[in-house]
Amino acid sequence: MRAAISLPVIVLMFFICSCGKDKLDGKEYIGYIENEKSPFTNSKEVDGLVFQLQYCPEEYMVLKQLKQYDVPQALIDRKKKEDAGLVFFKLRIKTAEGSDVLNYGISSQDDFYHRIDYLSYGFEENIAMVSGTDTIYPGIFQFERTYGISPNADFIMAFDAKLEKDKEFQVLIDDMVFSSGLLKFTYSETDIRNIPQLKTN
Amino acid sequence: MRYGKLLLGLLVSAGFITITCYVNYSSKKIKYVNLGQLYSDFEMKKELEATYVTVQKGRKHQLDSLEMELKFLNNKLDKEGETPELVRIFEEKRQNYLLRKQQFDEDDSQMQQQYTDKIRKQLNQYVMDFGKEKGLDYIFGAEGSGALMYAKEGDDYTKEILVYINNKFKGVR
Repeated sequence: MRAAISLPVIVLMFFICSCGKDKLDGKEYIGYIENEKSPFTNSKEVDGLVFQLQYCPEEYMVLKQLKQYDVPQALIDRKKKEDAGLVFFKLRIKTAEGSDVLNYGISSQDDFYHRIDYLSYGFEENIAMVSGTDTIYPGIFQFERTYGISPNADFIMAFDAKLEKDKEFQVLIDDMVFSSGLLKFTYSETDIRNIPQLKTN
Repeated sequence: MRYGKLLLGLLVSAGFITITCYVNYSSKKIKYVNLGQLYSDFEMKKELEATYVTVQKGRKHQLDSLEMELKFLNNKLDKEGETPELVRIFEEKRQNYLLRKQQFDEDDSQMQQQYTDKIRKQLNQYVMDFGKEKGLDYIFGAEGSGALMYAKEGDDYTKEILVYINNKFKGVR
């Protein structure tokens, strides 16, 4: 069953990869980046909690911000210039069974507020990106509060980092409230360089 | 005649159940791992151990400095005699040393406990992920306690699992 599901995805990935830097329209582009089998989404489950880290190219960020699939190239270029040197990631923390992660393992209201406070203001100190010999802390970090609408905890972060050609780099997360221990997510610069281009107008 | 048919029916059912159980059992995929080796060669354990040793060294360094100061004051007391001021300073330093030492001991054991919990959580999870990915039914842990007295060498998955869990820890896809 699993193989049957994976096969079309592998074929699609193979097709996209073999076409080199083919252009994808907005919808395809988002689907490509968000696909769990893509090299940009990396996830780990530890003790009932799932940590999902996704690399977000500038084009992806613009599409998501504008909430539309057709964007002018000039806008992408302007955003790229504004955010030059920044490497964006989206982190989602969720429970494996889909319950509210902010209340996961919580025994009192105080614990809940402590968790919110930590995730909003302290968590970024426990996240770093390691590229070559550099360890970089997030220059931009935002906890997206949903006030109970979503059971997940979502974060956007950006590192002012220089990726070394053909080298791997890692994002390290060592949270203090879920106590999952140090989590490492490895990415390859080559994969990032070979992302298909976005069709713009 | 009626009892004969009933007996035959029971025998056939029992045979069927036995064969089903045998086929089911013999088709189970069972592997084992050397728990000691798995734990000690797990990259996360090595990293946290290195952090722990660094922290401990730093603490020991602090305590050694305080101890030196105490020894120095003690020598001074022996040479110059017990003036109230010197005794007060010595007592303050001694209290500070004992307090710090107790605090470090408590922190050390707490840190050790936290690290062990974190390693256990990730190790268990990754072994579980491995089992699911490989479609195994059971992975036994051989730890030399007698829980697993014998296992065929070919069923030892320690090396394979070790590579898998270390890659998982590094977050390599």
